[in-house]
Amino acid sequence: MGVLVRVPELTLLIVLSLACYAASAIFALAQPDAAVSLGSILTLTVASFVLSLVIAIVAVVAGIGGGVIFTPIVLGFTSLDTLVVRATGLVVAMFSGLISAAPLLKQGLVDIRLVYVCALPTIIGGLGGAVAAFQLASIMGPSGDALVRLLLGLLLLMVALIFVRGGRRHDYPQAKPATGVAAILALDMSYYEVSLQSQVSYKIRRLGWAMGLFVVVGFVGGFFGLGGGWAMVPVLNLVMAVPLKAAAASSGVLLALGNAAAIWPYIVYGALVPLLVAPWMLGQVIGGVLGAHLLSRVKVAVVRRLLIVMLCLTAIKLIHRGLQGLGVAP
Amino acid sequence: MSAGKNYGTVLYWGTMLGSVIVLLGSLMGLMLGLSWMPLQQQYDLLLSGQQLASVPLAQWRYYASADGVILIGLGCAILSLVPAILGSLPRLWRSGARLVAVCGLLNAALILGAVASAIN
Repeated sequence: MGVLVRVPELTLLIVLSLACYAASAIFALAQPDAAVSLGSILTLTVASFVLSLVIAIVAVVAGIGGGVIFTPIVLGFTSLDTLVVRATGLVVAMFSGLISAAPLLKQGLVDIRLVYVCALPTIIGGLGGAVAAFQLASIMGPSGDALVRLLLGLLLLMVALIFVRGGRRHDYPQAKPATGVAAILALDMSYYEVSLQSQVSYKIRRLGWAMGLFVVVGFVGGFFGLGGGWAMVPVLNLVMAVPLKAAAASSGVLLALGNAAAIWPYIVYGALVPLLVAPWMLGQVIGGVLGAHLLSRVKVAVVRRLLIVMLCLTAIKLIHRGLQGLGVAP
Repeated sequence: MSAGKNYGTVLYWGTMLGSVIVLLGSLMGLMLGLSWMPLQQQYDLLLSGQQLASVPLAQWRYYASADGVILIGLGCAILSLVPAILGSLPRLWRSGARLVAVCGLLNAALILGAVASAIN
């Protein structure tokens, strides 16, 4: 509850959101011929808001973007159009990152120089992915939808594997001299590590390789509406030698910037439905702040294990639906 | 204030402002029924797995509807990235991180380019 006192604007936003939905419910009850039928649309809206809040908290605690939870579940278990789900998924992926940037930058966990350099290939890849999503939909039609579900299922299994192998990450990679592009940019960074009570210094390495990987991560994120937080942490930590804590914090901020361009093609083609997206956006903003404050009190390992199980189950469902759509499975 | 803090502060308040506008749009749609397409029709189409028509971004009338107001709120939050980036660049430039500042400028240009192509 302390967070509500410390962040009054968050309290105000929660109160306004609850008042908005309560007023709509009262209005719908009082007027049977109102624009909204209470039993369906309003319930769906409030349920989306609550679910988005939970996803945002879990995503921040687990150190991933919310898109990787939202998109597969909704694609696997509803009949919504895949482009509509992917557009909403991008909003879910980026908004907790937008709101959590300020506290993370203030704490010094994220270096803005790293974000700007890595965002450039991510934005280019993300735009390419979004455009490719519409090309595939126009060429293949319903079989394209089935193919997307199948590919996403396979991708999710890979993401789950990355999480399982998460223990092999390097908390504090050894600082080695930078070479190539990294040396030209002189990206020497540091942050204050509370648990060690000291400053942790690190040098960015293999920037050229990482830039190539960020194009791929951006493309996949833009194409599937997943964002890309699940892949950014491994690239930052294992390839660029960024300490794990700084990598997890940077990925959220990077995700918000990296997806800012990819969302626009979805808006143009009518795949982003404002009234459907609104509760998801609000849930991400409120949940993003709450998650950042809960981070220190929650056992991250437990959350990650639950997430792995959930990803595997959703992947199986997606693969089955994909094969069904392609006429391969009954 | 450092470049990073400057960036974060602009983004935080831009997102908060965007959220309030999105709430206002939600209220217009859910309570007053001022949506661009009747709400029930929108949800019927969506739940049956269909897409809606393209958003008329260039039509001013669209922005008086609940959908338009929500889109303004989303746009406000997303586009606050541009002033956030631009506001942080002078400090980066003065601190000697000039190539990074150029990367930041290119990021802002790409976002604005995506918006411009969406409106056209």
